[in-house]
This record gives sequence, structure tokens and C-alpha cells, in this order.
Amino acid sequence: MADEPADDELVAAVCAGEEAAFALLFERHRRLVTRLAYRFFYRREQVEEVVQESFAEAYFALGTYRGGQERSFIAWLSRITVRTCYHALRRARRTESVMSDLSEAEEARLTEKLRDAGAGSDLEQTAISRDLASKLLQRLEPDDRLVLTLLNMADLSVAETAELTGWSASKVKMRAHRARAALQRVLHRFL
Amino acid sequence: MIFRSKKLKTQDERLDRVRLEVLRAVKVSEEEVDAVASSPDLYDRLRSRITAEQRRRAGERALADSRHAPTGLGLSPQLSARRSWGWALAAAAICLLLGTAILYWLPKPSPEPRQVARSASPQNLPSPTREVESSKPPSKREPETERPERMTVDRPLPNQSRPVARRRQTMSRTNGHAGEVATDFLPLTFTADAPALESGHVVRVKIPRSALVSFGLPMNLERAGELVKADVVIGDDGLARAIRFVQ
Repeated sequence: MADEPADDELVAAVCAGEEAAFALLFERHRRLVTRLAYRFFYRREQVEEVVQESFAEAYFALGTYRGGQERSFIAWLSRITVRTCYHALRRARRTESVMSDLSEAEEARLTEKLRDAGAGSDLEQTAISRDLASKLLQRLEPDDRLVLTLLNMADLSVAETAELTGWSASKVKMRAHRARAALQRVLHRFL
Repeated sequence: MIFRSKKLKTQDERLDRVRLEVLRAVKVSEEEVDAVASSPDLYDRLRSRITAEQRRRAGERALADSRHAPTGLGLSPQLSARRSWGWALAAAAICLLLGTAILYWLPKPSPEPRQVARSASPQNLPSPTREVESSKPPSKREPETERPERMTVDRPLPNQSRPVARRRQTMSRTNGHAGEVATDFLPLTFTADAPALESGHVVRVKIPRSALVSFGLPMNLERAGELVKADVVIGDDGLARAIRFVQ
């Protein structure tokens, strides 16, 4: 374990033209990137696409990476991944017609489940299927989804979310407030 | 009222719980993450993607280099034409700007009386009427309404017969200074026998308003004590040859 080179050393090796070092970096951090991508996308092919895109972005940006005390490679790579997810969300928002995603049967099922949940039954038992939940979340703006995902799903703090998104802490808070309100408006339709 | 607010509160709480439930529902397990992350061909696809991106960037760089080639031989005819049009437009814009700047910064021509004073002797100084008429061709004469101020003078002219001299003449001349109106230069009669003026200079002085009378100009008696501005042509011999009044 102690013999394994540090991330900064691997980055330096890649910049020096050693391709094998990049394979090692990929091997080391692919789970992190995949986990992060899975918070925003739910289909396997989408997640794989984001993982590839994030690592490709990172590869071409390695020259700008400043390691050492300034920022760890994990934080740097996470930031690139979040940015890639955000751009992918925006592209998906433009191309997919999210309003027609829910069929009538799905809407009825969702309404029934939500009403059951609202009536005070055990929430764990009335778990909404991931497919339905993801379709509901697709109705949000990319910014709203980004901040809700990082704060409520990844359980990050405001400061960590600000670091990952590149936004200020106050913008994260304001966005989170709006995002929650937006999601509640979406859900209100079914209650 | 209390019942209604309680109902709203309950609804908000329910919405909040459902919102959290929705967010929880989309969480994935570590097994699913591993399934994607351990995909055997994931790195291969990433490598081919990076290679494709490198090729694309190299192509873009080559295109950019050919655009910056000095001869422009590698450009398509349309691109070449567009570029030459662009250069022509840029050159025209620069010329226009330079022309405007030159017009703005060039010194304005000095007022005519200075030249008159240098080239003419006092005897030959043109009468106000003659100078006004000769210096301004009819086609270029400003419209009456644009003239800033007008002075009417009744005075004898030394080189003309009295009836003609007594003729009512209009003199108006804007000076080089903004907002100033001046009469034409009036020859000073006491230097009538002096030699012709070869060169000299103009001096701005202030003289009592009562001096206007001696040149046949009208004067307001109530303001006789005030000073008026005048330009005096002084020859190289130190003698004053002509004068004009400035307002």
C-alpha cells in the first residue's frame, strides 16, 4: 500500500507522457466518479457516458491541476464530474420532453403511493420506485437538481456543495430553497 | 382559521416527507455502482474517446494554423473573399476615424483681419463693405438668421467720397474666438502718410467706449465709462495702423 504512488505523482507521470499512470488513476477513482454520476442519472448507459466524459475532461485538464496543499485530486476530479453531470443534465433538459415521460398509469400509481405516504403510513414501505422518482426529478431545472442531489442525496454540506459546483455558499442556499419549493410544487399535483 | 392553518401545516409536512422520500428513492446501491465501475471495457472505451478527442483537437489546431498562414493559400475562395472584405471594411473604418480625428484636431484658420493687416497699408486697407463682400462669396454667405450679431456703422471713409462713405453699411464678422463679433479693421487716419505696412502684429486692448465716437460708431451715452475690447494693428515701426472693435 505504501508503495503505491500518490495521485500527484501519477498526474505528473501522465503529464510526462506515461499513459499507464492514467490507467492507474482511472482504476483508483472510477468508483467515486460512478457513484457521483449515479446520483444524477439512473440509466446505466447514461452513467457510463458521464463517467467516460468526466475522465476524458480530467485527462485534458491535467495540465491545469495544481496538487499539493491546494486541492486534492479527489476534490478536483469530483468537481469535474459534477460539472460534467450538470452539462449533461442541461443537454437532457433540452432534448427530452420530460412532461410526457409519465404515462397515465404511472401518474395514477404515483398519486396512489404519495397519498398513502401522506396518510401517515410507513414511508419505507411506500417507497416510491426509482423510475418514478427520477421522472419527477427530471421536471426540475438542472440547477435545482444539482443542488438538491448534492445536499439531500449525497448529504454534502453547503460549503462542500459550493466547492463542488463553484457557486458561492449563499447561492447554494438560495438555490436549495428554490429547488425544494419547485419539487414541492411538482409533488403537489399528485397529492 | 386555526383549523385551516393546521391543515396547511399538515400538508406542508406531508409534502416535505414525500420530497425526501423521492430523493431517497433514487439512491443507488454500492452493487450497482460496482457493476458499472467494474465494467471491463470501460477503460478501453475511455481510451478510444480520448484518442478521438485528441484527433479532433489536432484537426482544429491545424485549421487554426492554416487560417493564420500569411499567404492564405490554404483557404477556400469564400473564406478568402470574406477575409478580404473584412480587411477592407476595417481599413475603411480606420480611415474614417483618422479623418475625423484630423479634422477635429487641426487648428482652425486664423481670422482674416490678421492677414489683411499684414498685407495692406493703412491707405489700402479695404473698406468694411469691400472686405465683407470680397471675402465672402455670395454662394457661401451665411444665411441672415445665422449671423450672430450685427453692427451698423455710419462713418466717413478716408478713401471714398463723402456721400458714399456716409452710406449705411453693415459690418459683421465673427472672430476666431468663440462667441466674439468684430468689426472690420478701420484705418487710423492719423497714419495716412505712413509708409505701406509690410508686416506687423495685432494687439488686443481695452479702450473707453467713448472712443467709438471718434470712429463714427454709435455709442450709448449711459455706458460711456465702460471699456470695450479692440484689436489694434501695430506696424513694425510701432505705429498703430488700424483698429477693430470686438464684442
